[in-house]
Amino acid sequence: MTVRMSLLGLSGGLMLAALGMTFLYAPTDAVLGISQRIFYVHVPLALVGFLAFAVVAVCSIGYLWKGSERMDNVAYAAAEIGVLFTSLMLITGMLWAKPAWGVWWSLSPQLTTSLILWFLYVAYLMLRAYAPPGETAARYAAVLGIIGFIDVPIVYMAARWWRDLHPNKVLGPLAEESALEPSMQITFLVSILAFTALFAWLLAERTELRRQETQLERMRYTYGQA
Amino acid sequence: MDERRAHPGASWWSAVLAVLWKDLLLESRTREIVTPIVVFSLLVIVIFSFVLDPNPRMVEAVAPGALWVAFTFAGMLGLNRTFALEKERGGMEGLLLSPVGRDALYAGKMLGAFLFMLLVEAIMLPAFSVVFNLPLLEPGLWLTIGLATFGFATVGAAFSAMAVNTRAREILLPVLFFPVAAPVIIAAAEATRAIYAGDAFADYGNWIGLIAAFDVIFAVVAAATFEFIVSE
Amino acid sequence: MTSIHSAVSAAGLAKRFGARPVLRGLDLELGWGSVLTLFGPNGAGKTTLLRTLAGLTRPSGGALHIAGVDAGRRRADVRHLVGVVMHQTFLYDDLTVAENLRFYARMYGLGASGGSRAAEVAEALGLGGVMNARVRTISNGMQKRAALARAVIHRPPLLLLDEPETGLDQDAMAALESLLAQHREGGGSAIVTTHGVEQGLRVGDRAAILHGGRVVYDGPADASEADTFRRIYAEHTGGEL
Repeated sequence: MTVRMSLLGLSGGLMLAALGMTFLYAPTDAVLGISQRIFYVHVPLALVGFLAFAVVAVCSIGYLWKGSERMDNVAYAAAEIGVLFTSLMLITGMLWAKPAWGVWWSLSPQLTTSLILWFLYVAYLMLRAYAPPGETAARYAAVLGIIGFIDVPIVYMAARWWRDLHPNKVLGPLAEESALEPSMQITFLVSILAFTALFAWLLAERTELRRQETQLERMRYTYGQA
Repeated sequence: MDERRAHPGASWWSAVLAVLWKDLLLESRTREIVTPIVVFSLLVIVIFSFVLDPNPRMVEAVAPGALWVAFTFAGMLGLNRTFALEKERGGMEGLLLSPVGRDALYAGKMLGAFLFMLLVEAIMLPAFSVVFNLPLLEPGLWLTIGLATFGFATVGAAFSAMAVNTRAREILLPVLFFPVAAPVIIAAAEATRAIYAGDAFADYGNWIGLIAAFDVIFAVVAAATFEFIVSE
Repeated sequence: MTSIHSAVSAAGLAKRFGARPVLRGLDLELGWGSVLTLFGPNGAGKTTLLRTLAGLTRPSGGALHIAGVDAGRRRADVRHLVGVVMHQTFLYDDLTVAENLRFYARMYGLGASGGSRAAEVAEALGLGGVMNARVRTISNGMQKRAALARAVIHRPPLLLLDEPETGLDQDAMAALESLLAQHREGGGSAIVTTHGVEQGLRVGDRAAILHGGRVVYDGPADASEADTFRRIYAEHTGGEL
């Protein structure tokens, strides 16, 4: 309880700070203008969405390895939040693409990869909904969680060779040297922290809810019918 | 490896071949996979020939995509049947009772699906080449088709084994399959485009490499996780 | 095939599907050279128990040993020990009986002797006339015999038969009973689920009742005591046989 409460407090505080910095502290971009501020929402959503899918993969392996129900609950919760974040990322991306490139959508590697990623984990949620309930759904989903995550870099490679007109990433191996001003970098980092904390809080809440759902179901069999 | 030796039943390869032989024999009797899919695929090609402008520049632009759309749809139908035929008299349980590694069951079913898809494609490709007036005798194209089809079979067989136990299984299989197989479809279509344009192997070799990497990775991952798909 | 270990040893065996418990702490011991008939109302967990013993489902709790092998953890190592007949035949409709038997003989690693072993079990079960007919074209009774032949092709020391009398005619039932008698004499064991009291008490030397996922009664089987057994069954399950 206290862990979840403090995660809520942390993500709330960081979220307010990120919002304030996005609009009051970070300077307006010289080229892209005001629309560039959506960057502080869009990119953290993408990164944390990806983190969520990594959590799905790790917990899927853990579930198949140990058979622990808790791992499965975390994987399921992370997949739901990952799909939510990725959906928001695609929407904010389109909102940004229109003023920046003049189109809602382009077949750039990042966009293509994100879209396929989104489909992958929507399929994951569908598989869980349509498979026989209980362990079967959990095992199927775990296998897909592993296959899907291994697929991501391959999708990215294919999409990258295929077409390349997206601006370079600002973080990670493909980062451009000092692409952002220091104040922009700080805002960006605070924003990433805020979304990561939000993810952690949602994950803890959703996992706990799943645990209670299962427990309730069990009690129904123990004390209810039969 | 120890796991394999521990089985007192058939050795790994003889179990794979027994499953494969059984599927081929069944198909030679019923023809319920290859025949309807060939007819369906020819229809798809004919429909493409109606809706696409026959102007040669247009054909060059869209033919590779059309070919792979037709192949993936045909493959999907075949994959749907792969494990559906095991469900009919509880055959899947018969297989699961056998004292052989689950990876051997996977390999047998996967190779069967691969051969059926390849057979369908071997009939579709000449028809496609005739309709769109494209070269057929291209070893690079055959290599692309062989590797990409193997890639389809690796993940397709695993998903087919899952989908067969789910509600809405006919629709769930493509929903699972397409996002995962997307890099193979992209790479195969791009390699085909290069081959039709007369490019040298060096120009599309990276696509072939990508498909081959996909094949190896997912053959191993699917074989290793198959046990979790089939055992309650 | 006999050993110091019992054929089946289950202690506190549990199996849940999702939240629904089917086996709830089941205890069962079965020695070699014994046939146990298992009675119980629908939904008592008979089929689930057989599927768990066959290694088709993983137990959710408790201990299970088959011929001394931990069947919960090392399911791969018990598969060659059991022969299973369930409601479905596990045969391929469009292959002939002989092809089906040869296929399974290969899967069980019988190698070159597979063909002669297939002919041998077919002979014992009166399948000679239909060996080259597709399964789809033969009668239900013959399909059931073929399923039985499939189950014993690898000479398993433990047979698990789920309501084998369903679809079997008089002759086939006699063939099954003599097969079970031979199996027992050879030191093998079997668990047979059934709804037929007389039949069940005749083929088994022990009779047990499964109710609510537990063994609620376990005693010697005596075909002349069918009425007594019916009374015991009603006491334990509140149902009728």
